[in-house]
This record gives sequence, C-alpha cells and structure tokens, in this order.
Amino acid sequence: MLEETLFSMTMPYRQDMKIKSFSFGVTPDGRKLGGDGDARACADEFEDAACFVAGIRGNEVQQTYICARIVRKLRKLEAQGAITAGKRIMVIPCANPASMNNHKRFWVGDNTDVNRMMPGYSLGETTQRIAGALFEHVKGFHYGIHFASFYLEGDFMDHVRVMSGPGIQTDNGADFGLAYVSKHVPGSFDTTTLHYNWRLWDTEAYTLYTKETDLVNDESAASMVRACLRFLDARGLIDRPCHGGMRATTFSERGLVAVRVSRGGIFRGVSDLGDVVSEGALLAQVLDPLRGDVLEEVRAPEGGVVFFACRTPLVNEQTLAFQLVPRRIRKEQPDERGNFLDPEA
Amino acid sequence: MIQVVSSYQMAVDEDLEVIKNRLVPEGAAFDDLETLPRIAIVSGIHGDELEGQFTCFEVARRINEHPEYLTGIVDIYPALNPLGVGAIYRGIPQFDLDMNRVFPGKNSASPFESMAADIVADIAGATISLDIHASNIYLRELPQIRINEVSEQTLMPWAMESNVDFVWVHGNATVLKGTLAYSLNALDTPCLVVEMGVGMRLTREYGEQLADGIFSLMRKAGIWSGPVAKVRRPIVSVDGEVGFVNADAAGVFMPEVKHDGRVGKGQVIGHVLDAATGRVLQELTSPADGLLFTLREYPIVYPGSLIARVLAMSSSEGVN
Repeated sequence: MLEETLFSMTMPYRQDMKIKSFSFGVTPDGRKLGGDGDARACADEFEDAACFVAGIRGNEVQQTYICARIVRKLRKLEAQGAITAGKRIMVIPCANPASMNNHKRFWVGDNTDVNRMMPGYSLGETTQRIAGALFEHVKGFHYGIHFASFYLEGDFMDHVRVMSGPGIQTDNGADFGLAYVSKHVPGSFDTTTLHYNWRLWDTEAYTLYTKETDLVNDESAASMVRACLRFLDARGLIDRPCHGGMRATTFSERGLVAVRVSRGGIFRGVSDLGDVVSEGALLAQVLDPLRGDVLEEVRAPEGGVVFFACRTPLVNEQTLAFQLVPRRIRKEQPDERGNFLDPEA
Repeated sequence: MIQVVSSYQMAVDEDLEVIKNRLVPEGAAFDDLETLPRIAIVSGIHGDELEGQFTCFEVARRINEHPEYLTGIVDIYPALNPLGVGAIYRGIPQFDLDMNRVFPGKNSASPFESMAADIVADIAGATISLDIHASNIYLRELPQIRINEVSEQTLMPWAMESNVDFVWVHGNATVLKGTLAYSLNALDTPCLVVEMGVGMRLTREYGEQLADGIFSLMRKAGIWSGPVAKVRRPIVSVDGEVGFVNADAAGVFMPEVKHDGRVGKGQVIGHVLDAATGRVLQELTSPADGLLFTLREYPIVYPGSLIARVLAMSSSEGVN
C-alpha cells in the first residue's frame, strides 16, 4: 500500500489540511506500490483501474468510514496476492478533513460545496483549488466510485446512482449487487459534481448512496464494502470469492413515486425502508404539534417498495415523506429495464 | 397593498409566506391592471444579503410621497427567503440549500421548489425586474449589474439606465441556469442582477443610488411620470477585462486601499498578516490599472480566498 498526501493547504490557526490517498497495486513480478527497496513499484507501472472517493462533504462520516474499511480490506487482499497484477486501486477516504473536524457539511471558510466546484481551478478560490487538486489526482481512472449523500433529511436504501451522459456508457452498476441502480438525468446543478466531471473525462462513474450520512451504521457499511469488493471482482481487478449479491433493479429516478405530506406538523413514520407496501397502506401520520391530533394519514398512492423515508421529526406542507419504487415500471420511462422484486414475495 | 405570493404551512402553527407590496396608480381600475407596465423589485434570495432592504424601503417611500406620478405597477418583494433573512442565514435554513439554484422551481415538488415556481409565475410578464444582491459577507462590491452574455442584447439598454457604476457581462455558466434571473430572462421577462455593498450590512448611499436608478427604469418603462435624477453612465466590461486577486496564504487580511475607485498596476491592495508572530505573510498588489470594484471585507483568509477584482482600464478612461 502506498500512502500519499495528494494536497496540502495552510489553514489559519490550524494544522495544514491534507488530503490523503491509499493506493494498492502489484506488478506481474510481485513488486508492490509502497513496497520497500527492490520490492517497490512505481505508480506509472500500473493502469489506473479504480478510484474510491468519500468525505467531500464534512458530514459524510459514514461514507468515510466505508472507505476506511475498504482500505483495510484491500491491505489484506494485497498481502494475500489477490489484487490483479498491473491494476492500481486508489482510495481517498476523506477529501475534506478540515470540514469534517468542524462537523460541518460545507467548507469551513465560506460554506461553499467542494462537490459543486468540479473540475476545480488551481488559481481560483479556496474550494475551487481543493476541487482542482482532488480532480487532478482522480481523473483518468477507468472506474470512479464516489460515496455521496443527499441534502434531504432522510434515509435511502443502499443503491448505486448513475448519471445519463455525458461520456462513456456506465452500464455496470448491477455488478455492485445492490438491490437498486437508479438512473439520473443531470440538471444544471449537477454539472460541477465529481460524478459528472468523471464522466466528461471518460471515467465510468458510479455514486453510491448508503443509509446513513452523519452517523455510522456498521451493517450498512459492511454491505457497501461487500458491494465494492463484488464490483472489483466482477470487473477483474481483484480475485476473491464473492457472493453474487442481489439481482439489481434498474430504474429511472423519474419513475419513483413521490409521497408528500399535505399538512405541516410532527412526522411519525410507520413504514420503514425496504418495506413492501400495497396501495393505500399507511406510511406515516402527521400530528398536530400542539394538540396531538392526527392531521393526516399518509398512505401509499400505489404499491411498491419504500426506497426513501423522511427522518425529520418536523415537516412542512409538501415535504417529501417517501419515495416508492413502484411495483411496475411505467411504460413511458424508456431508460428502465425490468427485474423488479416481487412485492408480494 | 401587501399580497401573499406563496404560502406553505410549517410544522408548528405558522405559515411560511413570501410577500410583496403592490403599488398601483391612484384610481386604477382592477380590470386595467393587466394592461399596465410593471416593475418587479426583488431582494433577499440570500438571507445574509440585506442591501436591497433599504432600496426597497426607499422606492416605496418615494412613491408614497408622490403617488400621483405612478402610471404603472410596482411590485416590491423584500424577502424571497424569509427564513434566511430572519435567521442571518444565506441559504434556506432547513436544508442548507442555495435558493438561487432552485429556480424556476416546480409545483408539486418540495415546498421550496414550489415556492420558487410561485415566485417565477408571479414576476413573469413584468416589463422589467431587478434581483438585488449584496455579494456576501466576505466581499464588498461597488454598485454594479451583472448580465449573462446570452441576455446582453435585451438587458443592456436597461442596465445603462440603472445608475450603477459598472456593468459586467459575464460568460454563460451552466450552473447559473438555476438562478431567478436566468429563469425570468428565459421567459422573456427582463431581469437585471444587481450586486452592491456587502452581506449583513446596509450602505445608505448605495441604496439611494440604486433607488435613483430604479426610478429612471420606471420612467423608461412608463411606470413613473415624475422627475428623476440624472443617472451616471456605467463602465461596461466583459470577462477578459476583469483581473482577480486571490490570497495564497492563510491569515488575516488588512486592506491598504479604500474601496472607492481606481488603483494602479502593482499598487498594494493589502497584506495577509500573521497575528501571532507579527509577520507579513503576503503582499497583494493590483494586476492592472483600473477600477477596484470588489474588495475583501471579511478579514480571515485561506489560500484562494478572493481579495479583490479589478477592471482593467487605461488611465484616460473615466470613473464615475
């Protein structure tokens, strides 16, 4: 394993911020990245095969934790000789340690979002410089995997998200063996994200969403680590016995059924992530925060699987409470393909 | 008359309301309002930008003094992000989202996207609109109008009458498609973006200067028949003529120039200081002869922090 500091920046009244990477690779003659003496291999002897990035936002703790576990796992696999010769796998568990140490989602200095500054600019403003330095090191990999989070306060089922265009096709999301692969049509908002810019530079990009963000969830982390190893195995980058995971259901995000509350109040969820619900099933209640009365019973407009569930205790009128993967994919959504779990199973 | 543009119920016994004050000519019949020219004056998309508050007040005050000159409709939207304005918070407090990235919004989406859609629908069709910003808490700006190059032809005649110091025609960045101004211009409702002053503060002279400009625009649009102040002719520039000064050290920025006019090439703009050791970490100089239209206000800087923007100008070009 080769541990490197990719970028370092002076900070007022703090130690320098460092973005660290951990690279794994073995040459056909057995030399290793980060090896000692004659056993040392250089990065330019390898194909840049896969890159994992997490912690671009300071509250993406679960994402950093998952990457840390991947580093640990890859160290073992490297020692066992299970990494395919000539392929470099790089992991950046935390791209924004300064904000993470402040327990702050966006940049500590000016609250801008590093993941809205890609591909960055080395002579620009602070977060443009951070983004620029990060992107300079992660571009050019064949596969790029970003652990990200949504702004919505709620939980998602572990899933893979793929953007439609630009760049090369990214049809291998099912190789993670997670239950869902969602396809997202990028808006103007998305054009300065890591995922979008990876695609622009011909990296096959995937964004992984896990249940938690600012809390650590071991079960979800373990599932994500297994998914990443499964992907690396399927793409020929490691040689390790992996279970097949799930047969992924691929759908367009536009096909998700949004369930909104129609009243503001205290939100009391009834259904959980992954629940299979029928049309009309009770999903949640909205309570009057002063009188305790039930103001609204939130029900499923159609049958499906609970994919997103609101976690905030207080909701405004029209807050997104749930997203359901519908039982049947609508015909008018050309991007989708079948394989839905049987909701009755 | 105060009207509610958008309203959504919040959790605990309160509605989130975006309001506007609609001022109409004396004696105008309700049925005639649709035919009258209209100006929309917008402020407070970013909750920490308050310079527009005084401009809104000043426009309303002058109209209240002489309602007989009003020949069209004036809609004043003082706070599009009321939660943010009240909480000294730039974004939308519940989500840490930049409201000026959710336009044109969408009905039946989240409350804030629906609110954005309500706002766009309410302003659309105005003869002219202004979205007043105040930079942010880090930078102080001379009164200026920023125009996306795709709207230059439509907006420039309005910008020239708005009594600002400077008009900056900038490139068409994709992310700007989420802004209110882009959305309105795409709907053929001309919208000027004003930047002036600094976040969390009011600058009386800038507010009065822009109010003069707004009355000039109202006159041009047929909304105001009363006297208006003579407007200054702004300097017009494009991206390539603007030089940026960024810090390369972390520390405390101390300016050495005033934010009121010209600087010479190589002139010291300020220093980055190390407060603990008494050392000067970096001296920052102007990249060109020209107009210093942006100057850092907030002292703590990181490598990359923007310190100043200078519009390159030859010495013979005047500054208002």
